[in-house]
Amino acid sequence: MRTLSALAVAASMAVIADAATPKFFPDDPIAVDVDTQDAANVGKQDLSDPYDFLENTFMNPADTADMRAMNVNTIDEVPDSSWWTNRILHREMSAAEIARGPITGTGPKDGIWTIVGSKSEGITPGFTITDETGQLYFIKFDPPTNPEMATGAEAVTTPLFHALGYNVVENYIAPLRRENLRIGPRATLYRQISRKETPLTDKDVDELLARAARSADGTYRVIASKAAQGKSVGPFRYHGTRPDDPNDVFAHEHRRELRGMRVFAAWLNHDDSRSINSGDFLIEKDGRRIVRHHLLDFGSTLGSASTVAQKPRAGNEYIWEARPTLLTMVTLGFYVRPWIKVDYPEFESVGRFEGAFFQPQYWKPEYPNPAFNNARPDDLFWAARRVAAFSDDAIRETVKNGRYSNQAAELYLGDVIIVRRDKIARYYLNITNPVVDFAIAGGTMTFRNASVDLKFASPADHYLVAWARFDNTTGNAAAVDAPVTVTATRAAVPRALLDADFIRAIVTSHHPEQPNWVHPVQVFFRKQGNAWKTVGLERLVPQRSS
Amino acid sequence: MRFRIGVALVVLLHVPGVAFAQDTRAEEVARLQAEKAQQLRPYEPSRGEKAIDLASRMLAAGHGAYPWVGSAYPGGSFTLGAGYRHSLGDTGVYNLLGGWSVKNYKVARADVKLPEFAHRHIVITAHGGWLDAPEVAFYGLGNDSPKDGKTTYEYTPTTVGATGTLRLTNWLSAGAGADYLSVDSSIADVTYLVSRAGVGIDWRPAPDYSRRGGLYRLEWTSHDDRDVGTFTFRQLEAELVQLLPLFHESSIIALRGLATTTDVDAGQTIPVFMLPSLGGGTNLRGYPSWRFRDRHRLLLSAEYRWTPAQVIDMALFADAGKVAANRSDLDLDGLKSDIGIGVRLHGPSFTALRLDFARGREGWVINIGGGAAF
Repeated sequence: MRTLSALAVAASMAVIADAATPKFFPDDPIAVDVDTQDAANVGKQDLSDPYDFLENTFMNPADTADMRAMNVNTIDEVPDSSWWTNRILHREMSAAEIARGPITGTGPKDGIWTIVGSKSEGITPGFTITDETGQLYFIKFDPPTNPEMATGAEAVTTPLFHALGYNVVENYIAPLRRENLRIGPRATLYRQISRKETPLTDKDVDELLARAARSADGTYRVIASKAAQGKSVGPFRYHGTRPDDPNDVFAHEHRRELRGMRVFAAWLNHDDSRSINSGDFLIEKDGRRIVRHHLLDFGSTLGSASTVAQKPRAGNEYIWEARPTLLTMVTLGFYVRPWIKVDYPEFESVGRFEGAFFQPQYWKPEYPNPAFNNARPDDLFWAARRVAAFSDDAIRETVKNGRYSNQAAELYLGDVIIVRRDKIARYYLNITNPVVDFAIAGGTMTFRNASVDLKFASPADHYLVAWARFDNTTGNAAAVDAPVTVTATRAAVPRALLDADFIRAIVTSHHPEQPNWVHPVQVFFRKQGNAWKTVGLERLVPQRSS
Repeated sequence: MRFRIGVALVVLLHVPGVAFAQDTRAEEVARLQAEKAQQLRPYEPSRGEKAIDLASRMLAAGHGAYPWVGSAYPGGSFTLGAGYRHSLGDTGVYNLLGGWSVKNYKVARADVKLPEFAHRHIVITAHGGWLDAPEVAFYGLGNDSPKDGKTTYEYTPTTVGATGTLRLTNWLSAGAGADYLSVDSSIADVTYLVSRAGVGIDWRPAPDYSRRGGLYRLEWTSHDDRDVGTFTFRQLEAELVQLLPLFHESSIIALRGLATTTDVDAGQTIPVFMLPSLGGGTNLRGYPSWRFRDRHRLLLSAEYRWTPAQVIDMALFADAGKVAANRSDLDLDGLKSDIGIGVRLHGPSFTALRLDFARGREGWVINIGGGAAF
C-alpha cells in the first residue's frame, strides 16, 4: 500500500508536469473492463454475518467521498466486466428473453436426486443434490405457511436481475417426490446442538421435509439453483476491495453497478441485499483464472422473507434506527410507524408486497449498505433507465416464472412490480438532467430526454447549450458563441466548430416543475473522418449536502 | 489515509484526463491491476470481526463451556457462574451449571434431556440440583404480613428427579415426573418424594418470547414426607396466559392468571419454604421476593407491550394478587397491587434480559433477570 501511495504522489506530479496528457484515449469509451491478471491465489473469504450487521449499522467501514463512480467509462456507462454485463437498455430484449434469464437448460432431470449435503437443521430446509446426470443443484423449499412464495420470488427476481446485468445462477422450479430422494454415502447434516457434521439419515430428511410446504398431490415444490461455474471463494463486501484479487481495483462502494443496485433492490424489495447474499467464484477465462462476482439468493425479495412473509418493516426501516426507536419508546407505542398501517392483500404465495405506499427514495435494506449510501443522482438515474426499460409485457412474462396457482396472485404481483417500476422511473429519471443519447450528424447535435420519452415528465420548456472547442491534450475548452436556447432536443453545431478535433457541449434543461433538470451535462465529441463520435458524457450533479 | 491516496490514484488514472505512459484506457486499467498484483495478501479479519465472530459462535454454541448470568434463587440477586453442555445423540443434551450470587447464594445444577423418540413425541428429562440460600426472606404468613416483620432463614434443598412429556401435538402436551427432594433449613429438615403430573396447551410460537398465542396449563403435585411424616401436602396450579396482538403485532396486550392451591390431610402441615408465594421478578413485581406466603395464592397480571425496535420491547404492567389461608378466600378482595414499566432485550424466540421497575404499596422494586415475565 505504501508503494501505491508513492505512486499516487508520483502520478499527481506527472499530471502537473506533463502537459500532453489527453482527456480521452483512442479507445474511449471502453466497452469492456478486462481482468488482465491471473487470480489463481485468491482464497476462500469467510464473512461473519453478525459482524457485517454491526459494522455497517454502527460503524462506517466505507469511503464516503462524494465522487463519481470509479468504474464508469467516459460516456458514464458501466463497461462489461466480471461484475456486470450490459443487457437491457443496451440492446433489444424480447419479453421471452428477459423471462428466460440465465437459464440454459431444463433444470434437474426427473428421476432420482441424490443428496450430497444439506443445510444445518435450522429453520429453512435445503439440500445439495445431484440429479441423474450428475449436475449439482441446491434446492430450497417454501414454508408451509406460504406455499409458492419463496420459490416464486426466486424464479421471478433472478431473471430480472439477470436482465439488469448481474451475474446470477440458474434457478428452476421443480417438483420433488420424497421417494425420489436418496441419501448419498457422504451426505451429512450439521447438527445445531452438537455443532458437528454427522451422517444424514432418512429420519433427518423426513424431519426437514416436515418443515416445508407440501402440495395436495404429495409433491414438494422446490427452487433448484444450479451450482455456479467455478470455485466458490466466499462473498464480496459492499466496501473496499478483495486484497487477494489483483483485478479488483475499484472500491466496491464506488462501483456504479453496486451503487445503482439500490434502485434495483428497492424495485424488487430485495431488503436482504447484503454481503451474505453474494458470491465470488474463481473461474477460468482466456487462459487465466479470474473472480466472477455474483448476486445469490433472491428468496427474500418481493413479498417473501424466505421462511415467512416479508415483515412490514422490510424495505421501510433498518433493523436498528435510533429516531423511530426513541419516538416509539417515549410515546408508549402511540407513535406508530406509518408502514405498520399498510394493508396487504391476503395472497399466501405473494407474501407482503405492495406498491401504493412504496416511495423509492425512502426504501431501505435490512441495514445500511455502503454502496447504496454512496449512490449519487447520476448513479440513480443510470439505474432508473434500466428499470424503466422493462415493459409491462416483459414483467408479466417474467412473473409467470413463479408458476403461481392463484391467478389473482400472479396478476397482483405483476401489477405491483409495474407500479413500483413507474414510481422509480418518475422519481429517479427526474433526479438529474435526463438528457441522453447525444450524437452529431449533418452539423446538428441531437439528444433525447429520457424522462419525457417515457412520459414521466412533460417536455422541457427549453434547453440551453453552451458550445466550446475542446483541447484533448490540455483539457482546456474555448467557448464559441453565447449559449443557445433551443426548445427541441436538437441544436445546430456552430460552424466554427465543424473543423475542430473535439467539441464540448454543456446542456442544461429547464422545466418549471423539474428543478433538478438544470444540472449541467457535459458532452464531448471527437471528429473521426467526416463523422463525430460521442466520447464523453458527465453529469455534473451537485455535491451531497452534509 | 492510505486508502484515500489509493483511491485518488485510481481516480486520477481512470477518470479521463490523467495518464502516464499508457496510450489507451485499457492499458491504464491493466497497469492498476498489475500494480495490485505485486501487493496481494489474504483477507485478514480485524480484531473486532474475530471477537464478534467468536462471541456469536459461543452464543450459538451447542456444546462446551459457557459463562452464565442469571438467578440462583428468587431473592438471591445477581448470580454469576459457568456452565458446560454437550449433546447426547442427535436431539439430546446435558447441561452442568454452577453459580454464586452477590447475596452469597450458591447453586449447582445438572440437567439431561435424553434423545427424543417416537418421532419426537416423547421427551424424557432428568435433573439434579443443589442450592445454598443462606438468607431467604420470610415476612410471616398471610396477605397482611407486615413489611417490617421480615426475618430470614437458611434453605438448602437437594433434588434429583425425572420427567416424561408426551407431545400429543405441537400445542398439546401431557407429562408426569417424580423427584427426590431433601431440604435442610433453619426451619425444618424434610425429605420428600414428589410426584407431578400436568397437561398444557401452548400455542405461543416460543415460550420465552412471543407476540401472540396462549398458554393454558394445569399441574398437580404431591409432596410425600418421607422423613418427619408431618409435612405431606398436595398442590394444584392453574395458569392462563393470553397474548392479544394489536396493530399488526406492533403492540400486545398480555394477560395472565395464576392460581395455586394446596391441600393437606389432618395432622399435616406445609413448611414455610414450600408454601405458594407472591413477590419478586415474575409475580407481583412491585414487592420483594417471598413477600407474601400462604396456603393459596391468586395472581392477575396485565401488560401493554410495545416494540420500539426489532430487539427491544417495552411494557407497562400491573399485577394484583393475594395469598390466603383458605381456598374460599381466593377472591378479588384485598388484592395487593403494583404498576411498573419494563424494558426487554430479546431475540426472535427468547428474552435475553428483562429490566422491570415496579412500584407497589411498599415502594419501588427493580427486577433484573432473563426470560419472559410470562
